[in-house]
Amino acid sequence: MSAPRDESNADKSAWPLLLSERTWGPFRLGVALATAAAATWCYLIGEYTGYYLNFLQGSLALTAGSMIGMLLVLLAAGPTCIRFGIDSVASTKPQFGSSGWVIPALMQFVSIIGWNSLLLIFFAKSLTQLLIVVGWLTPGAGSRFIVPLTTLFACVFVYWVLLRGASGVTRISGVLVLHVFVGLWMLWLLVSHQWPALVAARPALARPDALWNYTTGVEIGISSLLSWWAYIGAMIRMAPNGRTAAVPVMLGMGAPVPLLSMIGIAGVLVLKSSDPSEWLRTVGGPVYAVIALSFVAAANLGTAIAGIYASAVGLRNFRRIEKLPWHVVLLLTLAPVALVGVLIPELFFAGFGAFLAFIGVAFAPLCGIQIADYYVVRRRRIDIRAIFDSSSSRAYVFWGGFNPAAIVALAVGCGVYIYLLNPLTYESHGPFRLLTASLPTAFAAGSVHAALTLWFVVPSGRGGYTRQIKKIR
Amino acid sequence: MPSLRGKIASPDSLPAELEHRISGLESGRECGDDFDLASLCWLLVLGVLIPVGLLLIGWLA
Repeated sequence: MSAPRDESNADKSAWPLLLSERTWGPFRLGVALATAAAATWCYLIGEYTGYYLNFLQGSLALTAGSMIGMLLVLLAAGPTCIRFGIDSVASTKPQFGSSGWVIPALMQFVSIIGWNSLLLIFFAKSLTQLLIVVGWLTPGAGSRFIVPLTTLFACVFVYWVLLRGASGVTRISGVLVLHVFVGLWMLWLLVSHQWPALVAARPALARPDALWNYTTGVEIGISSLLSWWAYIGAMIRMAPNGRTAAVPVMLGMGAPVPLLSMIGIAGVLVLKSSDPSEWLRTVGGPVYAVIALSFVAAANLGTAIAGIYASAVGLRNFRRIEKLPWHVVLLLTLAPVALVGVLIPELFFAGFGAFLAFIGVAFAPLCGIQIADYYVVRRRRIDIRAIFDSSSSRAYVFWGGFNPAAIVALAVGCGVYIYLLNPLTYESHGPFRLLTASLPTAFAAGSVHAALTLWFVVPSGRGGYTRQIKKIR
Repeated sequence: MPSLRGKIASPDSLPAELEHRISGLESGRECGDDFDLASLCWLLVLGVLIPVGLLLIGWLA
């Protein structure tokens, strides 16, 4: 096989990318990340914030939280992914071990597949509504079959786009990124039409403790952006260095979410609905409704494409899947989404949100562990061969392929988060109102990982730490 | 991924193409640079200073 053919296929594997294959510049990376970030979940994020805070405080708290969350994700997975051209899952092998990486891999798979199932069902529902608004479908008639069929159509489209690998993501994002500007136009529309009502609006579930409300807004921003850990590696490994990626990640992925979430905050405060496809018809008639529904459909499709790509690359880390043809890996990744969308869309809508809330809890400790390991314990030294070679003599084998320090730290972190803030009931304890839940969780998990590593793992000579510790001393 | 698959060696050793990539990274030839000082300054501004400023403005508003 010729070299150019190899290069064209490298982005469809989990193997490290060569510098010549990392061709995304700042603009291309920023556009791809913005397309991935902007989706229906922005309205949901805004809606939850709007329950506790007014428009100004909600917007500022959410923006601040989002930028902090983005920074944590970038510091956790970013350096290893950018230096070696690998994805988020592979970047966890120095912490979790040559077999233990399946824990973050499962977190990634469940999170991405779960969220993308929801997004594609949202997409199907938006398209169904669109057909009703333009008069091509009678309300109620056939919609029971339209949603599964449209979900299936969306899956086929995503599959077709991703047959090209990363270039499919970047080509489609060049078109779909326009929906970010449509979103900003919708925000302007709502703010300019409803400003007096927006200023006067009071959040429905605000508690007497103003600091608790404010901290909750920040926490919603941080925890929402921490979920980007699952996506970020597959995208930023296409950039050649840290300088190329830093600002596009912070602005391309960190900024669109709070900006578009303002639509949800404003919508729920003034019109009691965060979904623009519902209120734009009231504000501007059927033409605006068509624009809004097209926006929702495009936004979710763009995110689904990036998500399925990231998940497929993550699956490539499994030895058996590594050797399968790319189109088979795509089918394996899309199959659960298609099955959920076709067979149990309503049941999934009703019950899976709670599970996803708990999955999100694990990303804060994961980021804390990676940051502590990379910057504090390893001092930026990574053995790239040990990431891909799991033979028994290699550094990241630890004990049977698992590093107990990282696993215990992850469990402690999840426990700390749930104690500080129950993600389902929003019941909080301890220093939540001063510190949020994600930040102490990341700190606790990182501290536990560093302490256990220094006390137990390093003295045992496992994990490839010895050389680093000697150099530190 | 037919072309990469075609370069897989014996089951016990790393595939030849992967070995080539890892060797390039180990030599530093194919390594991307970590965040440099300018990037870290941007991260500090965008991820810490601006959020703190926004939080102060929001709280005092």
